[in-house]
Amino acid sequence: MSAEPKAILMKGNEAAAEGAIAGGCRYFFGYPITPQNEIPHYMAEHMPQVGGVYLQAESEVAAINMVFGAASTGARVMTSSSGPGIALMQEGLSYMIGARVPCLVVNVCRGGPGLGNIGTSQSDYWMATRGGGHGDGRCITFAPATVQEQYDLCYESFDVAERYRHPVMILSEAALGQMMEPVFVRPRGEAPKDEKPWALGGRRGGRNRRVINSLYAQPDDLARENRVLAELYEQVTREQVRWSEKGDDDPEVLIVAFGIPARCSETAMERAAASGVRTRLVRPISLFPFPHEPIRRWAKVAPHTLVVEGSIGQMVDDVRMAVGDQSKVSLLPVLGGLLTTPEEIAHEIQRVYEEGGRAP
Amino acid sequence: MPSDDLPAGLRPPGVVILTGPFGSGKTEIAINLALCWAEASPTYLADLDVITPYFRPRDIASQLADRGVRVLAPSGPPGASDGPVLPREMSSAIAEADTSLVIDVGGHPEGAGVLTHWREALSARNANVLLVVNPRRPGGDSVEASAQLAEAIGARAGLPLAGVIANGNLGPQTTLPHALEGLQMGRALEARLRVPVVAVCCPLALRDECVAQAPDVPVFGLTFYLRPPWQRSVS
Repeated sequence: MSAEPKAILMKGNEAAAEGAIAGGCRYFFGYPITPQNEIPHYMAEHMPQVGGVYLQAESEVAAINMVFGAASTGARVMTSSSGPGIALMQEGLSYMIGARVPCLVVNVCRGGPGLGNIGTSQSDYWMATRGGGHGDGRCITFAPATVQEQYDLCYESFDVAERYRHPVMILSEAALGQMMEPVFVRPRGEAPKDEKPWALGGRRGGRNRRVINSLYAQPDDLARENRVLAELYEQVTREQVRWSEKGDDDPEVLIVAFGIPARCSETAMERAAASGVRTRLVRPISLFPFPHEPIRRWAKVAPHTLVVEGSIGQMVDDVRMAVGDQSKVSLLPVLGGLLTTPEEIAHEIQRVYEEGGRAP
Repeated sequence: MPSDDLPAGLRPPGVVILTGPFGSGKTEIAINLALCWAEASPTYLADLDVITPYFRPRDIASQLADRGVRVLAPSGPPGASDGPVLPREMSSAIAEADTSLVIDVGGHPEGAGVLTHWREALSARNANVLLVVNPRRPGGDSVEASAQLAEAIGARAGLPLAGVIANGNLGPQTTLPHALEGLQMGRALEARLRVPVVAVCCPLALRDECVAQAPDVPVFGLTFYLRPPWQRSVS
Protein backbone atom coordinates (compact mmCIF):
# COMPACT_ATOMS: atom_id res chain seq x y z
CA MET A 1 0.00 0.00 0.00
CA SER A 2 2.12 2.86 -1.20
CA ALA A 3 0.67 6.27 -1.98
CA GLU A 4 1.23 7.55 -5.47
CA PRO A 5 4.41 9.64 -5.43
CA LYS A 6 3.48 13.30 -5.14
CA ALA A 7 5.70 16.12 -6.31
CA ILE A 8 6.12 19.17 -4.13
CA LEU A 9 7.54 22.54 -5.10
CA MET A 10 10.88 23.08 -3.39
CA LYS A 11 13.70 25.54 -3.43
CA GLY A 12 17.05 23.97 -4.19
CA ASN A 13 18.23 24.70 -0.66
CA GLU A 14 15.16 23.07 0.89
CA ALA A 15 15.68 20.06 -1.36
CA ALA A 16 19.30 19.73 -0.19
CA ALA A 17 18.17 19.70 3.43
CA GLU A 18 15.25 17.31 2.89
CA GLY A 19 17.39 15.01 0.75
CA ALA A 20 19.97 14.80 3.52
CA ILE A 21 17.33 14.06 6.16
CA ALA A 22 15.79 11.37 3.95
CA GLY A 23 19.30 9.93 3.51
CA GLY A 24 19.61 9.48 7.26
CA CYS A 25 21.32 12.71 8.28
CA ARG A 26 20.51 13.45 11.92
CA TYR A 27 23.04 16.13 12.82
CA PHE A 28 23.42 19.56 11.28
CA PHE A 29 25.92 22.17 12.41
CA GLY A 30 26.25 25.44 10.53
CA TYR A 31 26.48 29.18 10.47
CA PRO A 32 24.38 31.60 8.38
CA ILE A 33 25.49 32.98 5.04
CA THR A 34 23.57 33.97 1.93
CA PRO A 35 22.67 32.22 -0.41
CA GLN A 36 22.32 28.98 1.58
CA ASN A 37 20.29 30.15 4.57
CA GLU A 38 17.24 28.08 3.68
CA ILE A 39 19.26 24.96 4.49
CA PRO A 40 19.84 25.77 8.18
CA HIS A 41 16.35 27.30 8.33
CA TYR A 42 14.84 24.05 7.08
CA MET A 43 17.05 21.96 9.34
CA ALA A 44 16.13 24.03 12.40
CA GLU A 45 12.48 23.26 11.74
CA HIS A 46 12.75 19.65 10.59
CA MET A 47 15.63 18.04 12.53
CA PRO A 48 13.57 17.95 15.76
CA GLN A 49 10.80 16.13 13.86
CA VAL A 50 13.15 13.19 13.21
CA GLY A 51 14.85 13.23 16.60
CA GLY A 52 17.92 14.87 15.12
CA VAL A 53 20.10 17.74 16.27
CA TYR A 54 20.30 21.20 14.71
CA LEU A 55 22.82 23.59 16.15
CA GLN A 56 23.89 27.02 14.96
CA ALA A 57 27.56 27.22 15.77
CA GLU A 58 29.43 30.40 16.68
CA SER A 59 31.39 30.30 13.41
CA GLU A 60 32.08 28.12 10.41
CA VAL A 61 35.29 26.95 12.07
CA ALA A 62 33.29 25.73 15.04
CA ALA A 63 30.64 24.17 12.78
CA ILE A 64 33.08 22.04 10.78
CA ASN A 65 34.76 20.84 13.98
CA MET A 66 31.36 19.87 15.39
CA VAL A 67 30.84 17.93 12.17
CA PHE A 68 34.24 16.28 12.72
CA GLY A 69 33.25 15.28 16.24
CA ALA A 70 29.88 13.83 15.28
CA ALA A 71 31.34 12.10 12.21
CA SER A 72 33.97 10.43 14.39
CA THR A 73 31.18 8.56 16.17
CA GLY A 74 29.84 7.26 12.86
CA ALA A 75 26.79 9.57 12.83
CA ARG A 76 25.40 10.92 9.56
CA VAL A 77 26.23 14.60 9.82
CA MET A 78 26.43 17.58 7.52
CA THR A 79 27.07 21.27 7.26
CA SER A 80 26.36 23.82 4.59
CA SER A 81 27.73 27.22 3.72
CA SER A 82 28.83 29.36 0.81
CA GLY A 83 32.31 30.23 -0.50
CA PRO A 84 33.59 32.44 2.33
CA GLY A 85 32.30 30.02 4.97
CA ILE A 86 33.54 26.96 3.10
CA ALA A 87 36.97 28.63 2.97
CA LEU A 88 36.92 28.85 6.77
CA MET A 89 36.08 25.14 6.92
CA GLN A 90 39.07 24.00 4.87
CA GLU A 91 41.24 23.13 7.84
CA GLY A 92 38.51 20.98 9.38
CA LEU A 93 37.88 19.29 6.05
CA SER A 94 41.56 18.44 5.71
CA TYR A 95 41.57 16.95 9.22
CA MET A 96 38.54 14.82 8.34
CA ILE A 97 40.19 13.62 5.15
CA GLY A 98 43.35 12.83 7.10
CA ALA A 99 41.37 11.09 9.83
CA ARG A 100 39.20 9.27 7.29
CA VAL A 101 35.74 10.22 8.53
CA PRO A 102 32.67 10.66 6.30
CA CYS A 103 30.42 13.71 6.17
CA LEU A 104 28.46 15.88 3.77
CA VAL A 105 29.34 19.51 3.04
CA VAL A 106 27.06 21.55 0.80
CA ASN A 107 28.52 24.67 -0.81
CA VAL A 108 25.91 26.95 -2.37
CA CYS A 109 28.40 28.97 -4.34
CA ARG A 110 28.37 32.78 -4.57
CA GLY A 111 30.78 35.10 -6.34
CA GLY A 112 34.29 35.75 -5.05
CA PRO A 113 37.11 36.20 -4.20
CA GLY A 114 36.60 37.87 -0.85
CA LEU A 115 33.07 38.92 -0.06
CA GLY A 116 32.43 39.09 -3.81
CA ASN A 117 28.69 39.26 -4.09
CA ILE A 118 25.67 37.07 -3.41
CA GLY A 119 24.97 36.37 -7.05
CA THR A 120 25.23 32.92 -8.55
CA SER A 121 28.68 31.50 -9.34
CA GLN A 122 30.72 28.34 -9.86
CA SER A 123 34.00 29.91 -8.88
CA ASP A 124 34.61 27.54 -5.98
CA TYR A 125 35.40 24.77 -8.49
CA TRP A 126 39.10 24.80 -7.68
CA MET A 127 38.52 25.06 -3.92
CA ALA A 128 36.19 22.05 -4.10
CA THR A 129 38.06 19.79 -6.50
CA ARG A 130 41.64 20.63 -5.46
CA GLY A 131 40.73 21.39 -1.91
CA GLY A 132 39.40 19.68 1.06
CA GLY A 133 41.98 21.98 2.64
CA HIS A 134 45.73 21.51 2.81
CA GLY A 135 47.83 18.45 2.23
CA ASP A 136 47.67 15.49 -0.09
CA GLY A 137 43.89 15.13 -0.15
CA ARG A 138 41.04 15.79 -2.53
CA CYS A 139 37.34 16.20 -2.03
CA ILE A 140 34.78 13.93 -3.69
CA THR A 141 32.60 16.57 -5.35
CA PHE A 142 29.22 16.33 -7.04
CA ALA A 143 27.45 19.17 -8.88
CA PRO A 144 23.66 19.04 -9.37
CA ALA A 145 21.87 20.87 -12.18
CA THR A 146 18.25 20.55 -11.06
CA VAL A 147 16.46 20.84 -7.74
CA GLN A 148 15.57 17.12 -7.97
CA GLU A 149 19.21 16.23 -8.57
CA GLN A 150 20.23 18.38 -5.60
CA TYR A 151 17.81 16.35 -3.49
CA ASP A 152 19.00 13.04 -4.92
CA LEU A 153 22.72 13.76 -4.53
CA CYS A 154 22.32 14.91 -0.93
CA TYR A 155 20.25 11.79 -0.25
CA GLU A 156 22.92 9.52 -1.70
CA SER A 157 26.02 11.32 -0.44
CA PHE A 158 26.07 9.65 2.96
CA ASP A 159 26.32 6.22 1.36
CA VAL A 160 29.17 7.45 -0.82
CA ALA A 161 30.93 9.18 2.08
CA GLU A 162 30.69 6.09 4.28
CA ARG A 163 31.78 3.75 1.51
CA TYR A 164 35.09 5.60 1.24
CA ARG A 165 35.24 7.03 4.78
CA HIS A 166 35.73 10.41 3.22
CA PRO A 167 33.92 13.79 3.11
CA VAL A 168 31.66 14.46 0.14
CA MET A 169 31.00 17.96 -1.12
CA ILE A 170 27.99 19.09 -3.12
CA LEU A 171 29.01 22.10 -5.20
CA SER A 172 25.74 23.89 -5.80
CA GLU A 173 25.25 27.51 -6.83
CA ALA A 174 23.09 30.42 -5.68
CA ALA A 175 20.65 30.19 -8.58
CA LEU A 176 20.05 26.49 -7.96
CA GLY A 177 19.71 26.97 -4.22
CA GLN A 178 17.14 29.70 -4.70
CA MET A 179 15.09 28.49 -7.64
CA MET A 180 12.01 26.33 -7.19
CA GLU A 181 11.14 23.15 -9.08
CA PRO A 182 8.98 20.11 -8.45
CA VAL A 183 10.67 17.37 -6.43
CA PHE A 184 9.61 13.81 -5.76
CA VAL A 185 10.66 13.10 -2.20
CA ARG A 186 11.30 9.73 -0.59
CA PRO A 187 10.18 8.65 2.86
CA ARG A 188 12.66 9.84 5.47
CA GLY A 189 15.02 6.94 6.12
CA GLU A 190 17.30 5.99 8.96
CA ALA A 191 21.02 5.45 8.58
CA PRO A 192 21.95 1.77 8.12
CA LYS A 193 22.67 0.08 11.44
CA ASP A 194 25.88 -1.62 10.25
CA GLU A 195 28.71 -1.55 12.70
CA LYS A 196 31.41 0.90 11.69
CA PRO A 197 34.64 -0.70 12.91
CA TRP A 198 36.40 2.65 13.05
CA ALA A 199 33.74 4.73 14.80
CA LEU A 200 34.20 5.99 18.35
CA GLY A 201 31.60 4.94 20.88
CA GLY A 202 33.32 4.15 24.13
CA ARG A 203 35.10 0.90 24.92
CA ARG A 204 31.88 -0.85 25.91
CA GLY A 205 33.40 -3.08 28.49
CA GLY A 206 36.74 -3.98 27.02
CA ARG A 207 36.50 -3.44 23.28
CA ASN A 208 39.82 -2.44 21.74
CA ARG A 209 40.57 1.23 21.90
CA ARG A 210 39.81 3.14 18.69
CA VAL A 211 41.59 6.30 17.64
CA ILE A 212 40.51 8.93 15.13
CA ASN A 213 43.54 10.98 14.25
CA SER A 214 45.25 12.77 11.38
CA LEU A 215 48.70 13.11 12.97
CA TYR A 216 51.34 10.82 11.44
CA ALA A 217 54.55 12.09 12.96
CA GLN A 218 56.78 9.31 11.62
CA PRO A 219 57.77 9.80 7.95
CA ASP A 220 56.91 6.22 7.02
CA ASP A 221 53.48 6.48 8.61
CA LEU A 222 52.57 9.66 6.75
CA ALA A 223 53.91 8.32 3.45
CA ARG A 224 51.83 5.16 3.94
CA GLU A 225 48.70 7.20 4.64
CA ASN A 226 49.34 9.34 1.55
CA ARG A 227 49.59 6.18 -0.56
CA VAL A 228 46.43 4.75 0.97
CA LEU A 229 44.58 7.96 0.06
CA ALA A 230 45.99 7.91 -3.46
CA GLU A 231 44.72 4.34 -3.90
CA LEU A 232 41.37 5.40 -2.48
CA TYR A 233 41.10 8.17 -5.08
CA GLU A 234 41.88 5.66 -7.82
CA GLN A 235 39.04 3.50 -6.53
CA VAL A 236 36.73 6.54 -6.29
CA THR A 237 37.64 7.40 -9.88
CA ARG A 238 36.77 3.87 -11.02
CA GLU A 239 33.46 3.84 -9.18
CA GLN A 240 32.10 7.38 -8.94
CA VAL A 241 32.71 9.18 -12.24
CA ARG A 242 29.32 10.57 -13.23
CA TRP A 243 28.14 12.66 -16.12
CA SER A 244 25.20 13.06 -18.44
CA GLU A 245 25.37 13.74 -22.17
CA LYS A 246 23.01 14.55 -24.99
CA GLY A 247 22.97 15.88 -28.51
CA ASP A 248 24.26 14.94 -31.95
CA ASP A 249 26.35 11.82 -32.54
CA ASP A 250 28.66 13.66 -34.96
CA PRO A 251 29.03 17.02 -33.21
CA GLU A 252 30.91 19.96 -34.66
CA VAL A 253 30.95 21.68 -31.27
CA LEU A 254 31.35 19.82 -27.98
CA ILE A 255 29.95 21.77 -25.03
CA VAL A 256 31.16 21.02 -21.51
CA ALA A 257 29.21 22.66 -18.69
CA PHE A 258 27.95 21.68 -15.26
CA GLY A 259 25.09 22.91 -13.10
CA ILE A 260 23.01 25.86 -14.25
CA PRO A 261 25.19 26.78 -17.28
CA ALA A 262 24.55 23.23 -18.55
CA ARG A 263 20.81 23.86 -18.42
CA CYS A 264 21.19 27.11 -20.36
CA SER A 265 23.41 25.22 -22.80
CA GLU A 266 20.69 22.65 -23.48
CA THR A 267 18.36 25.37 -24.71
CA ALA A 268 21.21 26.97 -26.66
CA MET A 269 21.78 23.64 -28.45
CA GLU A 270 18.27 23.80 -29.90
CA ARG A 271 19.09 27.21 -31.34
CA ALA A 272 22.40 25.98 -32.72
CA ALA A 273 20.60 23.08 -34.40
CA ALA A 274 18.18 25.56 -35.97
CA SER A 275 21.15 27.37 -37.52
CA GLY A 276 22.68 24.10 -38.70
CA VAL A 277 25.44 23.53 -36.13
CA ARG A 278 25.63 20.04 -34.62
CA THR A 279 26.44 20.02 -30.92
CA ARG A 280 26.85 17.62 -28.04
CA LEU A 281 26.77 18.45 -24.33
CA VAL A 282 28.77 16.58 -21.72
CA ARG A 283 27.64 17.67 -18.26
CA PRO A 284 29.98 16.56 -15.47
CA ILE A 285 28.02 15.53 -12.37
CA SER A 286 31.09 14.39 -10.46
CA LEU A 287 33.68 17.18 -10.58
CA PHE A 288 36.19 15.08 -8.68
CA PRO A 289 36.53 12.43 -10.01
CA PHE A 290 36.27 14.30 -13.30
CA PRO A 291 34.71 12.58 -16.35
CA HIS A 292 37.78 12.79 -18.60
CA GLU A 293 36.82 9.80 -20.73
CA PRO A 294 33.56 10.96 -22.36
CA ILE A 295 35.03 14.40 -22.95
CA ARG A 296 38.11 12.87 -24.59
CA ARG A 297 35.91 10.59 -26.69
CA TRP A 298 33.72 13.40 -28.06
CA ALA A 299 36.65 15.76 -28.52
CA LYS A 300 38.02 13.28 -31.06
CA VAL A 301 34.88 13.92 -33.10
CA ALA A 302 34.24 17.64 -32.53
CA PRO A 303 36.84 20.12 -33.87
CA HIS A 304 35.62 22.71 -31.32
CA THR A 305 35.10 22.37 -27.59
CA LEU A 306 33.25 25.14 -25.77
CA VAL A 307 33.38 25.32 -21.97
CA VAL A 308 30.64 27.38 -20.32
CA GLU A 309 31.24 27.94 -16.62
CA GLY A 310 30.44 30.43 -13.88
CA SER A 311 34.02 31.54 -13.29
CA ILE A 312 36.88 33.19 -15.16
CA GLY A 313 38.02 29.69 -16.16
CA GLN A 314 38.57 26.85 -13.67
CA MET A 315 36.96 23.64 -14.96
CA VAL A 316 38.40 24.54 -18.36
CA ASP A 317 41.78 23.29 -17.03
CA ASP A 318 40.34 19.82 -16.50
CA VAL A 319 38.68 19.93 -19.91
CA ARG A 320 41.98 20.89 -21.55
CA MET A 321 43.62 17.96 -19.80
CA ALA A 322 40.96 15.61 -21.13
CA VAL A 323 40.94 17.05 -24.64
CA GLY A 324 44.67 17.48 -25.22
CA ASP A 325 45.23 18.78 -28.74
CA GLN A 326 42.35 16.86 -30.27
CA SER A 327 39.92 19.78 -30.29
CA LYS A 328 40.27 23.55 -29.98
CA VAL A 329 39.07 24.58 -26.52
CA SER A 330 37.27 27.91 -25.99
CA LEU A 331 35.81 29.35 -22.81
CA LEU A 332 32.63 31.33 -22.19
CA PRO A 333 33.02 32.67 -18.64
CA VAL A 334 29.84 33.72 -16.82
CA LEU A 335 30.78 36.43 -14.33
CA GLY A 336 29.47 38.98 -11.88
CA GLY A 337 26.89 36.78 -10.20
CA LEU A 338 24.65 36.76 -13.25
CA LEU A 339 23.02 33.90 -15.10
CA THR A 340 24.07 33.29 -18.64
CA THR A 341 21.34 33.02 -21.27
CA PRO A 342 20.71 30.50 -24.03
CA GLU A 343 21.07 33.40 -26.49
CA GLU A 344 24.56 34.22 -25.24
CA ILE A 345 25.66 30.59 -25.44
CA ALA A 346 24.10 30.09 -28.88
CA HIS A 347 25.99 33.14 -30.09
CA GLU A 348 29.23 31.73 -28.72
CA ILE A 349 28.59 28.32 -30.33
CA GLN A 350 28.18 30.08 -33.67
CA ARG A 351 31.32 32.17 -33.09
CA VAL A 352 33.63 29.24 -32.27
CA TYR A 353 32.13 27.25 -35.12
CA GLU A 354 32.88 29.99 -37.64
CA GLU A 355 36.31 30.73 -36.16
CA GLY A 356 37.57 27.31 -37.20
CA GLY A 357 38.55 24.38 -35.04
CA ARG A 358 41.66 22.26 -34.66
CA ALA A 359 43.88 21.86 -37.66
CA PRO A 360 42.89 18.74 -39.68
CA MET B 1 -5.84 40.94 -18.26
CA PRO B 2 -7.77 44.27 -18.15
CA SER B 3 -8.22 45.53 -14.60
CA ASP B 4 -12.05 45.53 -15.03
CA ASP B 5 -11.90 41.74 -15.18
CA LEU B 6 -10.08 41.52 -11.89
CA PRO B 7 -11.72 40.03 -8.82
CA ALA B 8 -13.50 42.68 -6.74
CA GLY B 9 -10.93 42.75 -3.96
CA LEU B 10 -8.13 43.29 -6.46
CA ARG B 11 -9.36 46.33 -8.43
CA PRO B 12 -7.47 49.63 -8.55
CA PRO B 13 -6.87 52.16 -7.22
CA GLY B 14 -5.98 50.79 -3.85
CA VAL B 15 -3.32 49.15 -1.76
CA VAL B 16 -2.84 45.41 -1.73
CA ILE B 17 -0.26 43.68 0.45
CA LEU B 18 0.73 40.15 -0.50
CA THR B 19 1.88 38.00 2.39
CA GLY B 20 2.31 34.31 2.91
CA PRO B 21 4.77 31.52 3.51
CA PHE B 22 8.12 31.42 1.71
CA GLY B 23 7.78 30.51 -1.92
CA SER B 24 3.98 30.65 -2.06
CA GLY B 25 4.09 32.81 -5.19
CA LYS B 26 3.60 36.31 -3.77
CA THR B 27 6.05 38.00 -6.10
CA GLU B 28 4.73 36.68 -9.41
CA ILE B 29 1.18 37.57 -8.31
CA ALA B 30 2.36 41.04 -7.25
CA ILE B 31 3.98 41.63 -10.63
CA ASN B 32 0.91 40.43 -12.52
CA LEU B 33 -1.40 42.56 -10.40
CA ALA B 34 0.74 45.67 -10.74
CA LEU B 35 0.86 45.26 -14.52
CA CYS B 36 -2.96 44.99 -14.63
CA TRP B 37 -3.37 48.05 -12.47
CA ALA B 38 -0.89 50.08 -14.46
CA GLU B 39 -3.30 49.95 -17.39
CA ALA B 40 -5.89 51.88 -15.32
CA SER B 41 -3.91 54.11 -12.96
CA PRO B 42 -0.39 55.05 -11.92
CA THR B 43 0.99 52.06 -10.04
CA TYR B 44 3.82 51.39 -7.67
CA LEU B 45 5.14 47.94 -6.89
CA ALA B 46 6.96 47.96 -3.57
CA ASP B 47 9.60 45.26 -3.28
CA LEU B 48 10.02 44.89 0.48
CA ASP B 49 11.52 41.41 0.50
CA VAL B 50 14.34 41.62 3.03
CA ILE B 51 14.37 37.87 3.59
CA THR B 52 15.44 36.27 0.32
CA PRO B 53 17.50 38.44 -2.00
CA TYR B 54 16.73 36.54 -5.20
CA PHE B 55 13.93 36.48 -7.77
CA ARG B 56 12.65 39.91 -6.68
CA PRO B 57 10.71 42.55 -8.67
CA ARG B 58 13.77 44.83 -8.62
CA ASP B 59 15.51 42.31 -10.90
CA ILE B 60 13.13 43.30 -13.72
CA ALA B 61 12.46 46.92 -12.68
CA SER B 62 13.29 48.41 -16.07
CA GLN B 63 11.06 45.92 -17.89
CA LEU B 64 8.22 46.84 -15.50
CA ALA B 65 8.90 50.58 -15.86
CA ASP B 66 8.40 50.24 -19.62
CA ARG B 67 4.91 48.98 -18.86
CA GLY B 68 4.01 51.72 -16.40
CA VAL B 69 4.90 50.07 -13.11
CA ARG B 70 7.37 51.88 -10.92
CA VAL B 71 9.26 49.49 -8.66
CA LEU B 72 10.07 50.85 -5.22
CA ALA B 73 13.22 49.13 -3.98
CA PRO B 74 16.53 50.18 -2.45
CA SER B 75 18.73 51.43 -5.27
CA GLY B 76 22.47 51.12 -5.82
CA PRO B 77 24.61 48.54 -4.05
CA PRO B 78 22.20 48.04 -1.10
CA GLY B 79 19.54 46.92 -3.58
CA ALA B 80 21.71 43.99 -4.64
CA SER B 81 22.54 42.98 -1.08
CA ASP B 82 20.85 40.83 1.51
CA GLY B 83 20.71 43.62 4.08
CA PRO B 84 17.47 44.76 5.75
CA VAL B 85 17.21 47.88 3.57
CA LEU B 86 13.85 49.48 2.72
CA PRO B 87 13.03 51.98 -0.06
CA ARG B 88 12.79 55.54 1.25
CA GLU B 89 9.87 56.47 -1.07
CA MET B 90 7.42 54.16 0.73
CA SER B 91 5.78 56.77 2.99
CA SER B 92 5.09 59.19 0.15
CA ALA B 93 3.85 56.39 -2.11
CA ILE B 94 1.36 55.22 0.54
CA ALA B 95 0.16 58.83 0.93
CA GLU B 96 -0.70 59.22 -2.79
CA ALA B 97 -4.40 58.39 -2.58
CA ASP B 98 -5.04 58.33 -6.34
CA THR B 99 -2.15 55.95 -6.99
CA SER B 100 -2.25 52.18 -6.73
CA LEU B 101 0.27 50.33 -4.68
CA VAL B 102 1.07 46.62 -4.64
CA ILE B 103 3.31 45.58 -1.77
CA ASP B 104 5.34 42.39 -2.02
CA VAL B 105 6.87 41.42 1.32
CA GLY B 106 9.17 38.55 2.22
CA GLY B 107 7.83 35.22 3.36
CA HIS B 108 6.59 34.10 6.77
CA PRO B 109 6.00 36.46 9.72
CA GLU B 110 9.66 37.50 9.47
CA GLY B 111 9.03 38.99 6.03
CA ALA B 112 5.78 40.67 7.07
CA GLY B 113 7.48 42.42 9.98
CA VAL B 114 8.61 45.32 7.79
CA LEU B 115 4.98 46.46 7.45
CA THR B 116 4.91 47.77 11.01
CA HIS B 117 6.93 50.80 9.81
CA TRP B 118 3.87 52.09 7.92
CA ARG B 119 1.04 50.40 9.81
CA GLU B 120 -1.02 53.54 10.49
CA ALA B 121 -0.67 54.93 6.99
CA LEU B 122 -1.56 51.56 5.48
CA SER B 123 -4.63 51.27 7.75
CA ALA B 124 -5.68 54.78 6.72
CA ARG B 125 -5.68 53.66 3.08
CA ASN B 126 -7.66 50.50 3.88
CA ALA B 127 -4.84 48.32 2.64
CA ASN B 128 -5.99 44.83 1.73
CA VAL B 129 -3.73 42.26 3.35
CA LEU B 130 -3.96 39.03 1.38
CA LEU B 131 -2.47 35.64 2.17
CA VAL B 132 -1.05 33.64 -0.74
CA VAL B 133 -1.12 29.87 -0.22
CA ASN B 134 0.23 26.92 -2.19
CA PRO B 135 -0.45 23.44 -0.75
CA ARG B 136 2.32 21.98 -2.93
CA ARG B 137 5.00 23.69 -0.85
CA PRO B 138 6.67 21.73 1.98
CA GLY B 139 4.19 21.73 4.85
CA GLY B 140 1.72 23.76 2.76
CA ASP B 141 -0.89 21.00 2.75
CA SER B 142 -1.68 21.37 6.45
CA VAL B 143 -4.71 23.62 7.04
CA GLU B 144 -3.89 24.09 10.69
CA ALA B 145 -0.23 24.95 10.11
CA SER B 146 -1.20 27.38 7.33
CA ALA B 147 -3.84 29.01 9.53
CA GLN B 148 -1.39 29.45 12.39
CA LEU B 149 1.16 30.93 10.03
CA ALA B 150 -1.49 33.33 8.67
CA GLU B 151 -2.34 34.46 12.19
CA ALA B 152 1.33 34.95 12.99
CA ILE B 153 1.80 36.98 9.82
CA GLY B 154 -1.18 39.23 10.66
CA ALA B 155 0.07 39.71 14.21
CA ARG B 156 3.58 40.54 13.06
CA ALA B 157 2.35 43.01 10.44
CA GLY B 158 -0.10 44.56 12.86
CA LEU B 159 -2.76 44.51 10.13
CA PRO B 160 -5.79 42.25 9.83
CA LEU B 161 -5.91 39.64 7.08
CA ALA B 162 -8.58 40.50 4.48
CA GLY B 163 -8.53 37.48 2.19
CA VAL B 164 -6.82 34.46 0.74
CA ILE B 165 -5.37 33.98 -2.74
CA ALA B 166 -5.27 30.31 -3.69
CA ASN B 167 -2.10 29.74 -5.68
CA GLY B 168 -1.72 25.98 -5.95
CA ASN B 169 1.15 25.36 -8.33
CA LEU B 170 4.15 23.23 -9.21
CA GLY B 171 6.10 26.02 -10.87
CA PRO B 172 6.77 25.32 -14.54
CA GLN B 173 4.82 22.03 -14.35
CA THR B 174 1.57 23.47 -13.02
CA THR B 175 -1.62 21.83 -14.27
CA LEU B 176 -5.28 22.56 -13.61
CA PRO B 177 -5.54 20.00 -10.76
CA HIS B 178 -2.77 21.86 -8.91
CA ALA B 179 -4.72 25.11 -9.16
CA LEU B 180 -7.87 23.37 -7.91
CA GLU B 181 -5.92 21.80 -5.03
CA GLY B 182 -4.98 25.35 -4.14
CA LEU B 183 -8.62 26.38 -4.17
CA GLN B 184 -9.48 23.51 -1.85
CA MET B 185 -6.88 24.75 0.61
CA GLY B 186 -8.18 28.30 0.16
CA ARG B 187 -11.70 27.14 1.04
CA ALA B 188 -10.46 25.33 4.14
CA LEU B 189 -8.67 28.47 5.28
CA GLU B 190 -11.74 30.56 4.48
CA ALA B 191 -13.69 28.48 6.97
CA ARG B 192 -10.93 28.44 9.55
CA LEU B 193 -9.84 32.11 9.33
CA ARG B 194 -13.22 33.60 8.37
CA VAL B 195 -11.87 35.62 5.46
CA PRO B 196 -12.91 35.04 1.84
CA VAL B 197 -10.96 33.46 -1.01
CA VAL B 198 -10.59 36.53 -3.25
CA ALA B 199 -9.08 34.68 -6.21
CA VAL B 200 -7.68 31.41 -7.46
CA CYS B 201 -4.55 31.67 -9.60
CA CYS B 202 -3.44 29.54 -12.52
CA PRO B 203 -1.15 29.95 -15.53
CA LEU B 204 -2.82 32.26 -18.07
CA ALA B 205 -3.09 29.43 -20.58
CA LEU B 206 -5.29 27.44 -18.17
CA ARG B 207 -7.58 30.34 -17.27
CA ASP B 208 -10.64 29.33 -19.31
CA GLU B 209 -10.50 25.74 -18.07
CA CYS B 210 -10.10 26.98 -14.52
CA VAL B 211 -13.10 29.31 -14.85
CA ALA B 212 -15.15 26.34 -16.05
CA GLN B 213 -14.03 24.18 -13.13
CA ALA B 214 -14.30 26.87 -10.46
CA PRO B 215 -17.26 29.03 -11.50
CA ASP B 216 -17.93 30.42 -8.03
CA VAL B 217 -14.57 32.14 -7.49
CA PRO B 218 -12.66 34.77 -9.49
CA VAL B 219 -9.80 33.31 -11.52
CA PHE B 220 -6.55 35.26 -11.95
CA GLY B 221 -4.48 34.04 -14.91
CA LEU B 222 -0.75 34.55 -14.38
CA THR B 223 2.15 35.24 -16.70
CA PHE B 224 5.55 34.41 -15.20
CA TYR B 225 8.28 37.02 -15.18
CA LEU B 226 10.97 35.64 -12.88
CA ARG B 227 11.59 32.24 -14.40
CA PRO B 228 15.18 31.24 -15.17
CA PRO B 229 16.39 32.11 -18.67
CA TRP B 230 16.12 28.64 -20.19
CA GLN B 231 12.47 28.43 -19.18
CA ARG B 232 11.80 31.95 -20.42
CA SER B 233 13.11 31.18 -23.86
CA VAL B 234 11.27 27.89 -24.31
CA SER B 235 7.87 29.02 -23.02
